[in-house]
Amino acid sequence: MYSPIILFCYRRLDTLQSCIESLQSCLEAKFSDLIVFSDAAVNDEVKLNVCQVRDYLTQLTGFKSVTLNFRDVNFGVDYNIIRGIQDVSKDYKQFIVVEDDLNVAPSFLRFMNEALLFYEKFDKIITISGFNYVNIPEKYIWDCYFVGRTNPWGWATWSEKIKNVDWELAINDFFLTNKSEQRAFNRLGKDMSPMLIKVIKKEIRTWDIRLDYFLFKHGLITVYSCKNFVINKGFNRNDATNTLGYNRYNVFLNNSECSFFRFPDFITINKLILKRYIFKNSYINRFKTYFFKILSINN
Amino acid sequence: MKKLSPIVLFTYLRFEKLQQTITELSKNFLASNSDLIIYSDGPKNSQDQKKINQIRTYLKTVEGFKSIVIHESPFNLGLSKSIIFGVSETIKKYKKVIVLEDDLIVSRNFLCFMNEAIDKYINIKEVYSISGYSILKINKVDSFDGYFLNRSWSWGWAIWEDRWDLIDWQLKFLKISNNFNKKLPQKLNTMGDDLPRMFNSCFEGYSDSWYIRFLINQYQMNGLTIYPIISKVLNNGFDEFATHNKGLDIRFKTQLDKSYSQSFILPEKIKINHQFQNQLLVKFNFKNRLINKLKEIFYHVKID
Repeated sequence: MYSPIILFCYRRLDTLQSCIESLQSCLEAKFSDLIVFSDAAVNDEVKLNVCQVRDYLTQLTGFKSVTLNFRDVNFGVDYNIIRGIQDVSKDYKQFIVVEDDLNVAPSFLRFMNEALLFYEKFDKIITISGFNYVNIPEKYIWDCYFVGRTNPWGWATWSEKIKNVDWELAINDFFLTNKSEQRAFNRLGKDMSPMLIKVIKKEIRTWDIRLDYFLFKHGLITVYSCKNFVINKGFNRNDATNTLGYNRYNVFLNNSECSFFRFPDFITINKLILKRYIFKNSYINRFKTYFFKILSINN
Repeated sequence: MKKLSPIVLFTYLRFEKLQQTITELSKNFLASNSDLIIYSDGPKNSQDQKKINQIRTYLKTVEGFKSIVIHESPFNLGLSKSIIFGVSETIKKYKKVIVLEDDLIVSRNFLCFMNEAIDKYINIKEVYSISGYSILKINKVDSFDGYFLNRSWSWGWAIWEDRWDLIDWQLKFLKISNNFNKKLPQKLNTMGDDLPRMFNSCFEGYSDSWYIRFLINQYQMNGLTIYPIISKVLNNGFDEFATHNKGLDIRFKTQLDKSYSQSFILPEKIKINHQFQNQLLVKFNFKNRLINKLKEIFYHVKID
């Protein structure tokens, strides 16, 4: 029994096509249900793009089944995903989430399915990530590592474990005023608290930081693949929603055939991996991102 | 007579060592009345496959036990998962189990000692496990054939179902944070200086050890382990094929019971023997570990 794949898309046909093709390169695709949520156009300008995307979707094959959900009104990237996850949670006990700007490796679905099976009974483990930007120490013996922060690019979860996530952020005033809480939340990347504050103030619509806050509050953990099975192709394009500018997660896709994964049956915390994980979102690295963003806007 | 405990034997690649283990085990006084259950782990790569096929062919020819069941894993589980899975499966059926690995040599009265201890302490929850191996060379002082320490040993051991089921292999009680449990490794010092390092290596993801998790649970439960005064097991496994033990076995050299005694006087009082406990701690303290390391280095130099 393979987990269903949920795909969220909006208006980018070319990245969507390449995303679907990469999914089809996984052997497990033929046996997996695909559920697509296509958001509606926000204005007339992009209506044509959305129509093209939907035309393409209606002819889609190569999966066990394809379910299309076309939104009538524009949900926005956050609510398209949040509502989509909530809907699918009712019908499936676990699922894999992909967005239209991602490309996955041929072993992506195998890794996700095996990790979902292996870690189902582990209460502390809430999500699985197929994306990894960390350089793994040579002596590390496992095929995955553990961090208390989610990854929105190519991830998977269990319906039961995320049903209590507070997507509306009802506690927002508490977080905005409590500095020590903000500092604590920043422990896995200096970008986290600023991002959550912006989300609470409704300046940006990032959805995954809300899940991160849930992880933080309950001491939950994400399983990361040691090999990278996902890349994001959506950077540096003027039609991207959330990801403008220089991509500091520039990594290579692992296309090797992986048939067997070594999962530990307890949670390991590797100091070196954690350090490298956090460094990616340190002030230095984020300044670099910011610098390139300014450059690209001026051009 | 009570029903004897089954013997679970875990094997992977070491053919010659395994043959020795089984030969010695089958010479045991109680072997012909004991069930033997063998878990043969699967290959990591195609090179291993050949060796494993050889081992599995041999296993089918083994004789001398009441019954023999062989479980062949199609893929490589690793020692930790093999042991946790195999013992859990067997203990569900038999309520008690004696565990061996393929690098051990047992004395003829090994099964006598283990079964006697299993029956004696079956209802005493303070006793967490039974060890057939004893690292200490002890001159018998009182009438007892066994003594208690606060730490299990993984070379020829036994456990009961109720205690096994309490073990939390996921270690859920550990708090996950950036400075991941600094205190626990220090606390494990009371069981031996070698454990903090074993703990760190395991939780950093550099090694896979069921044993350290077994000990952490023992520490949490304050359980004791009964040891024989004269060891019933020798470790034969310090060679290049060993998964965990590499190097010399000077430190672990002990005397094997060569006697024919089949019954033992086990202590009624469940209490750590502090004299022996201190001897154990000294064996693992920094100075002795350093001396051992130097011996190893010089030994290798001589060979070269």
